[in-house]
Amino acid sequence: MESVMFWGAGIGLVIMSLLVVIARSPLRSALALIAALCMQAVLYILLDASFVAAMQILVYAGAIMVLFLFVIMLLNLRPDAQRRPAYVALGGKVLGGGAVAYMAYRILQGLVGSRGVGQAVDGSVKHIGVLLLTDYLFAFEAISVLLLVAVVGAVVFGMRKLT
Amino acid sequence: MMDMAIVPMHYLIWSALVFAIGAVGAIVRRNALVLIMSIELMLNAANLAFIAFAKQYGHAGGHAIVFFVMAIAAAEAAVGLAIVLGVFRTRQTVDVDELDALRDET
Repeated sequence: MESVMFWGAGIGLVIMSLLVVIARSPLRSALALIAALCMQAVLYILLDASFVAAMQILVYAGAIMVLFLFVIMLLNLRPDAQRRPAYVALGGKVLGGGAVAYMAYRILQGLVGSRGVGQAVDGSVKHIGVLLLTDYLFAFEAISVLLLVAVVGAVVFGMRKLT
Repeated sequence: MMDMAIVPMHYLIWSALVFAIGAVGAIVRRNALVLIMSIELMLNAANLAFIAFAKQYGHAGGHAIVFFVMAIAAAEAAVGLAIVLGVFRTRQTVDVDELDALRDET
């Protein structure tokens, strides 16, 4: 059962990620990205990260992607007429293919050495909440300041005339 | 292939693939919105690796880090989209190749 979910969600994730990059229309890219994020939530559940999976759906696929869709529909863009020059496209593919090959090599190398089946990890709301307010308290507070700065920055950018 | 035991490290393969796809998208695409979405893909690939390692070592710290990454992704999306909107308002385009106001002339 786990391997079926692993392969199904994983292949779906890769296909949807490819669609994000390939699709001509930004709207289709955004919808494919939502599907990819949902596929990733399935992988999170397989890895005992139930709370993170819920947040992935609620915050990422919900809030952030709504922001994207809102902007895309507000701008009402035409699909891309042309891509970048051929050498940039080729260079990007070579770079990406090289990255895949290198990382696959390193991962397979690591897999041969260790066959750890993983350990139970408590991904419940309670445990993560305690962790956030003890071990990661400073980072937690710093993130709240960062979000405040981002909100102020977005509002300033949104002003018609900077005052 | 389908009946082999799935260990947490196998999830790194998906993570690597998605990261590479996002990197290629960030290089190849010209639309600023798709560019930001490619960056989101790369952030998500990193998140998947964090969760896989959390399972591998039985420590939920990776889950906490994923929350911080999500918060940073939200901040990045908010500011990035505000910039895209501002650029579109003055130039009527979101094509990153046409934004060359800061480019050196030589």
